[in-house]
Amino acid sequence: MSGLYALPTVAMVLREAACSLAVSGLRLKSTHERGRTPAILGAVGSLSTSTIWFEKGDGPTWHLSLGLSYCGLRFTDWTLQFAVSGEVMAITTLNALTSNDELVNAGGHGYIRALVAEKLSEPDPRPSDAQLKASENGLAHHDGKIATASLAPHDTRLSGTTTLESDALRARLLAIPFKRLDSGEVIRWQIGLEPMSWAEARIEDVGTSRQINVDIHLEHSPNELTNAVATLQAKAFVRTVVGFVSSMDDAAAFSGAEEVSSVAYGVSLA
Amino acid sequence: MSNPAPFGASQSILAPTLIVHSIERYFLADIVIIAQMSVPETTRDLRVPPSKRGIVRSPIERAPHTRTLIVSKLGEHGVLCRCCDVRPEVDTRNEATRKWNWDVQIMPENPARYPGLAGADAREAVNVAVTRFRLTDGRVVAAQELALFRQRLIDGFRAISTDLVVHGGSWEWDMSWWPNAETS
Repeated sequence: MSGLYALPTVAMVLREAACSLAVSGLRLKSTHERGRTPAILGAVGSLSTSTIWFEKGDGPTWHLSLGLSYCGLRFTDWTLQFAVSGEVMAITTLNALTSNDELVNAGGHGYIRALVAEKLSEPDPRPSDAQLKASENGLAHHDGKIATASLAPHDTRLSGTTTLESDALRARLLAIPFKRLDSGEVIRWQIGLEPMSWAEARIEDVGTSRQINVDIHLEHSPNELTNAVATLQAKAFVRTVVGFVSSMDDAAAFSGAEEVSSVAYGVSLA
Repeated sequence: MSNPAPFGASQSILAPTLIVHSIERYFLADIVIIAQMSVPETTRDLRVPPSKRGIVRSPIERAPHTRTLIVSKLGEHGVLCRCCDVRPEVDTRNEATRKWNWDVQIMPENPARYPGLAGADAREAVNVAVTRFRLTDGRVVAAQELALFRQRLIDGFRAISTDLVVHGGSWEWDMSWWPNAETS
């Protein structure tokens, strides 16, 4: 294939191809049989709904794969590699699984190749609604439980001392990437998805130092997600205030709000 | 051939977003980490490979997994955020990062590359690209996490860039997308 568009357009076409196949209505199933042995012992002869993987590789290369996602492992029926060099795109099939000398899930393989060729031959390729449909389907499906322990409702204070000048300290606080609700003498930020939870900072001169007091208020919401996001953002806020001030003043010292700082985030790995 | 702008071509959560802003590049990692930390972790029981005891394998079991976002550095100022389903205390970091649902790369761009979008006097731009994703049953896997991460990311930029312009992709959040969140 030659006479290609800019790479972002190629990426758009390939995303489109993956999503179009996913929402095409083709009932794609992948077998647990892999050669003479099943992918996972105990799953002999069964079929599961196929998974499509979209991956941008290093450089102008993409991979679209179809296969079985099972027990956290990937068993591919095939991978299509799209490699762009200059104005030429090479399409190569990798990792092909065959059954009776035929490519497994050949229908999906042909579908992708045909769609990519068709889209890239258009003078001005535009996405259909496949990406949107796959996104909407994903947003309508939720199966997990929130693991974050919520603190809301909660009030706490972070206090710090720094030798930074008031103006420099204030400029630093105004650079904190949280939505500001008030930029007056007291600076107030929204914490979480709704303005009912907030943090506000006051700066006072104490001798030759500056005292900064940050009051954090987490309001309880009947919505578990709102409470979880507010709790996590409070933790992120404290981390950011301490980090931003300490990056300009090594001797800055903070205390308080330990219960917010100690909220767990990030999985402990082996 | 013509070069149609990919930004704005689709409002899906998979489409790239170009953010034109006036923030120093060293703030980028802070904005991404705050967005990452704003997405709650979730738990679900997923199948795990049977363990082998001698020559006998145990039956397939389910084990609790945590869906979490892992951030790493990408080049000098770029950041990669990866959504993974991880077995806490069991998976190593390598194993965890192989269990991805999606990747988002947040890379500084030269705004001059996008004259029609960034404006002649634009100082900085960032390209937010979904570089990996999985689809099953006609849907994007871990779509809620992706949508919430994108919205929090834009929110971070918007908080400190007065002249922010955002092109392309979906970056809104709707509470109905997390339907199990109502507790009372």
